[in-house]
Amino acid sequence: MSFFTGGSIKPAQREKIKQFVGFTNANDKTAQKFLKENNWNLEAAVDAFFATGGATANGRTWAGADQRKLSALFDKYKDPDEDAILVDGTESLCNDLEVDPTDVVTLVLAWHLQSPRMCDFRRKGWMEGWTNLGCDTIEKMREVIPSLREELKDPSKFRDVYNYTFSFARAENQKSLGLDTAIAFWELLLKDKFKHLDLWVEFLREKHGKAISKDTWNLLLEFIRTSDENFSNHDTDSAWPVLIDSFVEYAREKLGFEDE
Amino acid sequence: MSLRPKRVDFNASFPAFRQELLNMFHSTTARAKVSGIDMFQQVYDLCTSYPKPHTELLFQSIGDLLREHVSGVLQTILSRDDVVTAYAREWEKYRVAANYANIICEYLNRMLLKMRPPFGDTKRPFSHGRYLKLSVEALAFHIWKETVLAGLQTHHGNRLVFQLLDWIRQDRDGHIVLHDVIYNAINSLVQLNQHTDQPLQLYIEMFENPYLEDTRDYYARESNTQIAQDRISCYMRKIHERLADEGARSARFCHPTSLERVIKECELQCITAHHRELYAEFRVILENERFADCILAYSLLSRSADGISAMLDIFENFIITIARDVIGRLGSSLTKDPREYAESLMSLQAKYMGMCDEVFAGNLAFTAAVDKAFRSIVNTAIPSTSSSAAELLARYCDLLLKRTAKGLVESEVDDKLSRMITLFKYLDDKDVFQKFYSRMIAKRLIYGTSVSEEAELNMLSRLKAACGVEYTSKLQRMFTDVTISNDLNVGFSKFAQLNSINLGTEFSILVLTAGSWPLSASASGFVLPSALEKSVSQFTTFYGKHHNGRKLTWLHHLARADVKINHMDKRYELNVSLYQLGVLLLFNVTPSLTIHDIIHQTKLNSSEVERILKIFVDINLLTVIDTQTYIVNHGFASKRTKIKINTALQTETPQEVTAARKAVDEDRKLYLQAAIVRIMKSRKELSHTQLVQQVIDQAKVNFAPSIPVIKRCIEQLIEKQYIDRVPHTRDRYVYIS
Repeated sequence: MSFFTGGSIKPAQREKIKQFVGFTNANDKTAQKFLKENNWNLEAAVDAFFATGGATANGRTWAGADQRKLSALFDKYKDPDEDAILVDGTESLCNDLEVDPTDVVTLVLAWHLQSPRMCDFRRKGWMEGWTNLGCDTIEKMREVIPSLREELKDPSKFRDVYNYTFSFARAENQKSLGLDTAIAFWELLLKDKFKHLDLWVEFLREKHGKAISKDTWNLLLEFIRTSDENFSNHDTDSAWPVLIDSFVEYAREKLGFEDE
Repeated sequence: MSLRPKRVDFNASFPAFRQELLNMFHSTTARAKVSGIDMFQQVYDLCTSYPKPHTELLFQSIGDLLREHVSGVLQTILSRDDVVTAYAREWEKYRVAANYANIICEYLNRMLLKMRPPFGDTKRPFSHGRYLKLSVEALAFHIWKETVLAGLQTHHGNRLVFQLLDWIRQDRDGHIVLHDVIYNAINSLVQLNQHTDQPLQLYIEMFENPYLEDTRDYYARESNTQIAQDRISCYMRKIHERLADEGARSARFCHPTSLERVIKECELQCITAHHRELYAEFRVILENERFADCILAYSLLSRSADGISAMLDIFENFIITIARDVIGRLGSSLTKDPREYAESLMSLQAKYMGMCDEVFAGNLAFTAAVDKAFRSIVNTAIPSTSSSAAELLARYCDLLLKRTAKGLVESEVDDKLSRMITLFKYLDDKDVFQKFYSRMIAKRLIYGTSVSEEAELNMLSRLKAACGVEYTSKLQRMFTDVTISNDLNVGFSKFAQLNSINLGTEFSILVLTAGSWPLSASASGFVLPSALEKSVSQFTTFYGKHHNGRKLTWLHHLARADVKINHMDKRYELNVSLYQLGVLLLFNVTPSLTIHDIIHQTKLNSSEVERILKIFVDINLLTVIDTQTYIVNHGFASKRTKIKINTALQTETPQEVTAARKAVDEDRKLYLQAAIVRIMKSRKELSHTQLVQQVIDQAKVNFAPSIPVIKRCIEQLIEKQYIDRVPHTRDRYVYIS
């Protein structure tokens, strides 16, 4: 940021430059230019940036997606008071995309659009996400949904979405994930992946009854992938979270497997 | 003697030589009848004859002669019933003669060096090794092997060896046999092969192998009958003797190299084959403390390498069972009085350690088994109490170090404490011991109930030696505080004199470093009796002058006071707690008080006040006039003039114990987390196993952490973002700086 050491820029303005860069991926210099021309009005500056084809002006070509159209679509759904698509906007977006909000595919979409939490889409993530997916109209977006569903079949993508889900589902300012929410998302994501999902949920409600840590959330997927059906290869001394160890013990007893 | 070569006709001169040679082999006193020097000349002449020397011819002819002689010898041997004696006698004659012949034919031998031996080809049967160099003696021995030995073995049912084995069996059974004859016969097999490259092969093949087989059969039979007939301890004694005998027998009859093999064969049959019975007996021996048998069992079973390991297990389990029994018999009384617990374990430990020396020849594996047993004993929960061994041992130290009516002599205390340390070293939970020990030492120091400062310091240095400086640093600090406080008190009374301050009371104070003592300020807002206010405020001033910036927190609940009662029949002196004093002094001002008055004036909580009043009423110092009002009982009388009024504070309450145990758990968690962060900070990235191992290593001095506890700490640190898992792995951690 040595560029700004001249001192003529106020902290508030610096913040706006940052946001501008966030939305447009332009460099600081361009951001400053557009903001100055638009009297430091962020929204106007961004609009102007896309209207003048500023995207190409800063040397990057955004093939496949018209940034102006995308920005306009964002504005259509966005909350009147905040620069974000919130509950109402999400609902009508889902309607327009013809997607059930409880469909697992919404998680993939949220992941692509870098939604920080449920029913909260930001302009930056929106622009980048859709651009990467090559969509700038509702129709194109609707068409891309089935391919998003396909992505869940790729194990490494699934892990990304799964791990992302933790922070997505978590309540604001909370470190861990409330048990009910965690279970709801597990049931959404792991229904056909985890043979003992019901037992896991039963165990959590009966013995744990507390929030789930990020570590446990992430490691559960690894656990499902590496352990065999009767947990014979599970080693309680290795790096698994204690909660998973206790589950194995619980499950072995319930299912009548010999502890090996 | 002439050295000049001559022309010699072999056929003419050989017969005379031949006759002389035959005489040698036929006679037992060869030297008397033959002329060595003539023969030597004859050999020389034949070997140097020209135009052609008769070297080869001479050698062959000697061979023919010996073959003829030896077949006669074989017939002589076979004609006797006692083949062994005959063989041994004939062999001795033959050996001596062959030796002389060899000397006489020295010149021939020298000529033969250049020739390849015509016999001793390893491919031929009954050859037993290649001849290194040719000589008449080698030839003679070879012919003996070929004719006599082969003849006895192949054509006459191996009679020699059969009879030898039979005689040795008779020797074992206690019959008298001819030891020299047996030895000579066996030794001939070694002598016969001495000129070959495998000098022992003949002996091994012809005798040792069948002998070992025979030994095996003999002892298999004998041990089976013996063990069925006898008590095991008798059997062991017999076997012990047998092994010694067999060693001597082997030395008497066999080549030294056989000893080991023979003994091993015996051990296999007598010990290894019956090890189950022997191990069972070992247990019984231990139970009955038959130490002589124990030594015997050890000396037998330790002969085989893996014989010991089963003994060690038995020994270890036996000790554990014994100790558990002792502990079990103590029941729940051991919490109150851990003396018997500690002392019986101490004496058991000393006893079995002593046994290692006396019975098991100081074998370190046995010492280690004792250690292992005691480690298991002190680290397993005791069924009859919730107290752990660490707690009990700390309490035991307290009992020893506290001044009591029936005190021990100081040297006894010291001795017991130093033995206690051996048990202490077995503890995994040294931190638990430390926690309890520090609470008790605090009380001893505050109330001045220690046996002696020296005893306390001795104990501290023992703990320091066992666990390091860090372990005792807080305890040490407590001592320093007490010493400094003594100086402070002297300084303060001088200060009072100098400034002519009349405090009105005697006053002694302990200034304790916060954090080093397991103490915390009391929550009650106790109002200091006015008689003491001046002392406290003056001391605060005094202390503030010397130590600028230090803050004094008064722990009134720990203070005690001596107070004199002046208006009764005698001048009684009461030793009370400061709270009790606070209550008593109120009666100086007001003759009758209600509970509410007291609570109001002292600001103590009601349960505390009730407890204090109850004690005073119980000893008749106060009287209740109606349910709520108390007055001083002026008729108070007691045999003693000095009365000590106990408070609950001096004995441990169950709440304190639980609190202490809980505090240990908390300390451990912090300790482990700190250790994990420290390790990860220096190593940056580690696998789960490595991290866990290093944490265990670091904690070992204080306690043995369980893996789930370590894992929980790791998880907490991940949550707090001190460390993280390496992305896409599940068993590696990385430090977050």
